[in-house]
Amino acid sequence: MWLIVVTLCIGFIIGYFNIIPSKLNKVVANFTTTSLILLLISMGIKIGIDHTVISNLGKLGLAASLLAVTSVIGSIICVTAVSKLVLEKDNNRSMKGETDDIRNLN
Amino acid sequence: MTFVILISIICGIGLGYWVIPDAYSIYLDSVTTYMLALLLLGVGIDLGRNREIWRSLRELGCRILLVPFGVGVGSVVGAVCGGVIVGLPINESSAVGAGFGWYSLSGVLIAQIYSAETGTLAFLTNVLRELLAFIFVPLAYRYLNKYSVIALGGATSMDTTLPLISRVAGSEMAVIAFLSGVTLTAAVPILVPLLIRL
Repeated sequence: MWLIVVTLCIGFIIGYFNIIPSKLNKVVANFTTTSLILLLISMGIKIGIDHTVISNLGKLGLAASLLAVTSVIGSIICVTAVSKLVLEKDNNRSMKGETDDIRNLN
Repeated sequence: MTFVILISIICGIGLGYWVIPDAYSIYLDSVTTYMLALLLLGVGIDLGRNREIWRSLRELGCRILLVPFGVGVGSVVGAVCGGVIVGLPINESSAVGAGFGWYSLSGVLIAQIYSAETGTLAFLTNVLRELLAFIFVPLAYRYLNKYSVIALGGATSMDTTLPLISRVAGSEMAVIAFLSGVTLTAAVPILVPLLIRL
């Protein structure tokens, strides 16, 4: 948990002060993609090695799948509603910002 | 991307189930943690480089907390609706939904306070939720509102699904996803015991 926050902060500092030359951007991107795939595989291993998941899938699988799907759909609906409210205000604000910029140019 | 994700996860599950002996499972947690830390170093570099994100975030201010609020409410209400279909009492379904994808904690909490079976249900549901997030983040970003990627991730959008969100939806969404994930993660140990006792 702390390791996550610390590495994120270290990465942020590296990025913010441009410590890694931008020539290496592609290397960093490839590195991220490769380790993302490795992470997914090891997450899969974690699920597969814990036999309680597979052995309970028959009994609780249907209910679990349904609850997972409905809770995801619920969050998507609510967040879309919220973001429409947040975004509308945001759009108004950025449009105001644009007109300010034009005024400044004139 | 979705295809690569799906293949990786299926390979992993197959390896874990048939190939890798159980004795190795103690090392697995540290392997995933270090791998995740490495990945988040990359995400951090990305976030640090994009200075304009922080300006847009400052403009949004506290309103950004509406995103995790929406994800949380939607998740619990959605789970209650699902629970009605399969005939679960509201306290069980709402507590399962309030795991927000953090399967280890929500499963253990419910097993300790309430019952082992509901704990297993919470564990399974939230494992599946994380899987759904991995698979559907790229599709949701393409076809739905861009904030949907954060909704899919739930509490995991501060760690395991953050690299994917950052790669698919860009740094601005990654920042909001991280904040949303932190807020929801903090809410799990409060909400789950509260809802299960309803």
